[in-house]
This record gives sequence, structure tokens and C-alpha cells, in this order.
Amino acid sequence: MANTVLLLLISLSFSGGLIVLLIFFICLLFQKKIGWQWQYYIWLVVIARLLLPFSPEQNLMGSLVERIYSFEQDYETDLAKNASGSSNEDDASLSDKDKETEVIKNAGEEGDKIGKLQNKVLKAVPETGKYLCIFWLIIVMFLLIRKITIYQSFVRFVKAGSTQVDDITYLETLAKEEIDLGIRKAVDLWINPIISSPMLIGFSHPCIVLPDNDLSEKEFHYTILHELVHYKRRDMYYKWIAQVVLCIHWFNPLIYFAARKINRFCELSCDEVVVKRLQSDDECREYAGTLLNAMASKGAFKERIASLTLSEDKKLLKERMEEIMNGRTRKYTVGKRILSVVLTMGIILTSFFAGSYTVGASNNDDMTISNMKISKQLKERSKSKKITAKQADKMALALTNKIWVWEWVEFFVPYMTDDGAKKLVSASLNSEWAGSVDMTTGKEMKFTQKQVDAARKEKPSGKLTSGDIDDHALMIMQSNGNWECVSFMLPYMTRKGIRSVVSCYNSKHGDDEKRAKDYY
Amino acid sequence: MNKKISDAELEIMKVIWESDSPLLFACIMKALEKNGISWQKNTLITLLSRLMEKGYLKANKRGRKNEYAPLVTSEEFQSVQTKDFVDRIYKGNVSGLITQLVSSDMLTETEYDELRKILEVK
Repeated sequence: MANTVLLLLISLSFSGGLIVLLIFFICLLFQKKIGWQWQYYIWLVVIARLLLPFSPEQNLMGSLVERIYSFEQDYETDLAKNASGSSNEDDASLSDKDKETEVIKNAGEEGDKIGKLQNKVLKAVPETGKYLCIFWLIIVMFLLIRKITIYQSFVRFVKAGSTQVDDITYLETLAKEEIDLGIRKAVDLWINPIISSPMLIGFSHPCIVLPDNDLSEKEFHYTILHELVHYKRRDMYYKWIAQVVLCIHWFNPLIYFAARKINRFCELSCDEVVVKRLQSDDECREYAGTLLNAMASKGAFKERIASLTLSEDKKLLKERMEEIMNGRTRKYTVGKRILSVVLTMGIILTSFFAGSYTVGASNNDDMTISNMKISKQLKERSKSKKITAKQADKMALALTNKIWVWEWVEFFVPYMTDDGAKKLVSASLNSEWAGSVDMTTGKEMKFTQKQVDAARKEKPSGKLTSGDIDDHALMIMQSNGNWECVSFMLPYMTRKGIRSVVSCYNSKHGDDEKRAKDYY
Repeated sequence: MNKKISDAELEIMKVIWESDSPLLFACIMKALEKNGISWQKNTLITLLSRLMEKGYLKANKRGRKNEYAPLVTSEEFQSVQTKDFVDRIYKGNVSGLITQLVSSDMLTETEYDELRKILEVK
């Protein structure tokens, strides 16, 4: 469970990060071509990607996770190879035959060691996964609670020091502006000299707080217009959702970057809306002047988390000034509209397919990485798949190691690699268990190089598929009923094949001790 | 109750005190218009919510609409305001106020008699 959560979280964070970079570069590329509003709202895609673990069956993160697992497996086989290679050189004095057996022994030991190590790692992973998960959750809770309490105490502090604006002309201007913008809720108006710039606070009782009341009529008008546009667009909800996402993905620096971008585009796009409502260039100039004055005001108290201030910092202010002055000349042609629609679709699709490591694949709550690996492999194995030469080697050697019946092993030989085929004879000599016995002489019938060579000469008619493994495993199960003689083939079989082998086993052993589901 | 009240808010309280029963928002709007005051809807909403916050008014739901009723009578309000006025201007000295009223001819004959009667009863 813990691992599923972690994997999901990391894959979400990773694909979210990719979308952050994608959007950032698109914004950089088309900055002058697309409206600020688009550049502001497009980040909602990132937020959706980071919060919602839905994605199609085939997605980037899913296949990435798979790729990492298969890489792990390749690494393990490489390790085994290296181990056998080195022992080969060391034991130069031994005779050829001895050497060969030695190699296989060593390889086997190495394999065992690796197997044990792997087991240890797999056992350790769920444990560390659990602790990591708890650690992550504690940080999330801490950050969330801290943000909320800071905001609450800030609001309380600002309210406590505020006086309500009683002047009815100000209230009337505010109310008229609300009608113009189509705001139904009445926004209150306060003054608090302690704050550094005008701001909008409160969710259920929204309130514009001004730093002082010696604003000219026009300045007042522009100030409340700006704040009311923030309110109308529900910017405080947007900012808070961004903050929540930030708390969840606190370990991802790209998300902090995105949150900063959202703040920037929030102000720029708010100005864009305001400028569109202004009548002349003079008014734009006055609006820009109001921003500057707000910046120069005396109050020192600033709150960055989630209040919407008129001006946030100087660098941004400069950019906003330029945009306000250019804003009226900026026209959005049909071509630019189409561009923004195309980009939006592109980004949404990309983010959908960037995906996450979805949990939908399995209902098992206690899914550890090891059985995730298997279930992932098996998910694709409902259809018959090609078996590689290396996989054929693995099965043939495993089978020989258990039971040296030439007819059973011969089946694999034409499909094996040269290296694999060479190991067969010595493997049968070192086999753990029993094998074919000549009924007349009572002698064990170990494999001979002749047999192997003869079988190698036969050219296979087609590729080996998991369907063939199904038949072969069933045949072995029917003949000797021993689970361990087929268990290593299960990962290469189809679900159907697994079901028939399991039911064969159960019928031989008279009870239903095994369930096919466990091996999917 | 002892919180300061603005002129605009007082206009609303007057309308509500004049009515015998709780008033709907639209009725307050109409009554204010009769008194020559026409505000935007949101201005009135803001002022009403401020009055509720200060404890002068309460709102009861009638269906989906709000009905506003006073929590403070006009008499209570006047006495508190007068006391505040006397405290601030006459440093709590009531006779100073009465002396001022009488000496500057602010009382009519009948008002003067009424005042005397009240004083005699007490």
C-alpha cells in the first residue's frame, strides 16, 4: 500500500514536473502571441495532473516504471554473467569439463546470492516505503496546517487593526463597480494603515482592505477595479489550490517554480482584464500610476501566501507597467485564438498521456514492488507473447536443474542461445534432483553433447511463444505433478495456461490449495 | 450595542425602528427611498451586515429571503448615545446639559413642564 502511494505520488510529481517545463517553454515562446489570461489558466492543467491520478492504460509514467523494472532485471543478469566470467579466468588450471561445471556452480552460487540479496531488498523496500510515506504525510500536514494558521492569523490581525469605510460615496462606487463586473456578493471595504498595498482577504466575507483613505477618486476606482477582478475570477481559490498542491508535492522544486509563475500570471492577466475595461490610453497611464503609488505606500506589513495584493514586487511591477501601456494595442486575431486553442488541446492531451502510475491495474491493497513487477508483466500476458532466446535458456536450465528428462528439455533447445545450450550437459550432471533412468541398466541418463548438438541442428519452424510454454508446462504437470518443475515457467505463460496448469495440479493433489489468480 | 454607528447605518436603523414588524430587504430599500436615500443594493447589504456584526440587527430567514429585526430599541439606543454624549461633552455632568438646554432657549414651555414633572416624580 505504502509503495503504491509513493509510486503514484512520484509518478504524478514527475509527469507534473514535465508539464510545468512544457508550459513554461510554450509561454516563453508565445509570450507575445497569446493572452495573459491563457498563460494564467493553462497552469490549471498542471494542478489537475498533480492532483488527479487518472490516465489512460498506456501512458508515459506507466511504461517508464516498467522500463525501470526491466532495466533492473537486465542488470541482475549482467551481474550473474560477470560473476561467471571472472571465475572462469581464476580457475584456468582446471580441466575443461571441471571448469565448465565450476562456472555453472559459481554462477549458481552467485545467482543464489543475488536472489537472497534481491529478497532482502524486496523485503526492505516495503518497510522503507512505509516510513517514507509517513514522513511525506507528516510534512504535508505540517505545511498545510502552517499555511492555514498563518493565513488565519494574518486575516485576524488585519481585521483587528481595520476601520470600516463609512463614507457612503466610496461604498456606492464599490457597489456600482460590482454591478458592472457582474459580482452579486457585496464586498466590504476597510482601511488599515499597517498593510503595504491594497488587498482582498476573506472567502465567505470578502473584503477589500486599503492602506489609507487619501486616494483620489480615480485611484480608488482603479484600485477596487483591480481587486474586484481578482474576486470575480476567484483568484484566491486558484492560489489556495496551488498552495495545497505545493504542500502535497513539497519535494518537487518545479512545483514551487510553477506556483511563482501562477502568481506572476495572476497579476499580469488581472491587469489585462482591467485595461480592457479602460476607455483610453490616459486611463491606462493613470492605472499604472496607481500601481506605482501603491508600491510607494508606507505600510510595511506584507503577506505573501494567499491575499491578493495590488502590487507584489518591483520586478513584476515593471513588467506590469509595460504590459499595461502596451495592453490596449495588443489585439487578439483569429489566428492567435486558434493558436491558443491548439496549444491548450496539445497540453491537455500531453498531460493526460504523461499520466501516472495508475493503481487501477490491481485491486490488491498490499501490492509490493515485487508483485507489482509481476502483475505488470502479466497484465500484458493475457495474449500470447514471443519468448526470447535468453528466456528459453533460463527455463531450460531451470528445468534441467530440477529434473533431467531430455525429452522435456529438448523442447527448448532449438530456441536457446549458443551459450545457454553449452551449459546444458554440465547442468544435468550437477542437477539437484532426479532424472531419467535406463529401465534395463538402472543407469542415470544424463544429457550428452551429442543429443544437444543434434537438437541444435533442427531449425525451429517459428518463434517460441507463451502459448507453446503453456502446452509444455501442462504436459510436464500432467506427467509428474510436481509444482517446482513448472513454477519457473509461470512468468512466461498466458493466464489461460496458468489456469490449466493450476487446475491440473489441484486435481492431482486432491484439494484446491493453489489458486491461479496468485500467479497472474 | 455600544459600538459606534455611522450616519448611513443610523438611517437604516431609523427605518427599522419605525416599522412594527421585521422588514424584508426590499421593504428597507423602499422605505429608504421614501426618506430620499437611494443606494445600490450591495451598499445596503454591506451596511446591514455591518449592523448585524455590531449587534444592532438580526436576520431571520423567511423562505429564501432575509427579514431584519432590531436587537436594540430606539430608546435603548438614545439613552446609550445620550450617556455617551454627556460623558464626552459634559464629562458626565447631566445638570450641565440641562442648564445648557434651558439657558440657550432650546426647550419650549411645554417641554420644560414635562421635564419638571419627570424630575418631581423621581
